[in-house]
Amino acid sequence: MKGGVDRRTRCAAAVIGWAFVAVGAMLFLGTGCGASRARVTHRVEIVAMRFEPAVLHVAVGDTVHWTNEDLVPHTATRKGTFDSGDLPPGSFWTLVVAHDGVLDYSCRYHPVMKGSIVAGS
Amino acid sequence: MNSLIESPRAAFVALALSIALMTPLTVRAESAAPEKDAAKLTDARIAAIVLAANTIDVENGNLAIAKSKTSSVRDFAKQMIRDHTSVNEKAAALAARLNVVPEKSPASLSLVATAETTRDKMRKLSGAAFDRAYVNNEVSYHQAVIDLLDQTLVPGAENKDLKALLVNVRPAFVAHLEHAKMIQRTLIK
Repeated sequence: MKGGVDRRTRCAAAVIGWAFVAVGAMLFLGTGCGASRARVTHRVEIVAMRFEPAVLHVAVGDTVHWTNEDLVPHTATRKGTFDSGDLPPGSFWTLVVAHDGVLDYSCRYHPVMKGSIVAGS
Repeated sequence: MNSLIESPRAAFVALALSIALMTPLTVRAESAAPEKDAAKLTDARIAAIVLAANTIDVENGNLAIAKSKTSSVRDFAKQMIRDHTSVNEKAAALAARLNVVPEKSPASLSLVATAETTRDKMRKLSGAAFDRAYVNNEVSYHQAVIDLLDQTLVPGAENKDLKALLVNVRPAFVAHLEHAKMIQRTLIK
């Protein structure tokens, strides 16, 4: 009987223990979700032969959304890192920023057009 | 080198100034003699000038693609074809939306005639001489069109959407001018 009681006690303790772990985990995850920053989509307009804003501050995981509101085709290009390809007037392109750092970019067709993404973690 | 290629800017500036000088007179004399109407600047005529100005540079670009072997010149020419074709598509779409039928005028015809003469001269050139003539003309031409926009077309446009198009296209012409000047410096002997 003693062994049975002990076994029941251990089982009850285990259940309670797991319940605490589960609740703790839920609390941890809940706290974690509340503290994490929601992903943000940042918009960059290409207008009058410039990127607007020219300097964009983002967090890693955010999305940058370029829209060509100009009269001529453009690109958003960082050689070796990303390239929107041809963006005719009225078109858009998006990029998810995967790493922190400063990403200077330009228009492949109009090198005088320059922009910068400043990504922090 | 012939004088048209050496100083195309003078021709375009003269054209721009002549239109600029004519416009106030014709605005005041709208009901005057019919011959005065030839110089009147309407939205339909402005649309035709815009279309002609862009088409001229597309054709200049096509000539450069056909004749030049210099990568910077060819890349610039491709950019001119791409950009000015795009602007013309926007201008034509706007004119259609506004029910404005582009109307040729002495100004647009003069612009086209001067450009054709310049291209005829350039066709006779080759190699570095052609590159310099083409790029020099691009510098002069874009400056002349910017002057035309500032002094005549933008002030003369009545429809606000047409005026906005003219204002919005200006930065492209300025960027082209700066790019052409940059190439010009590399072509100086």
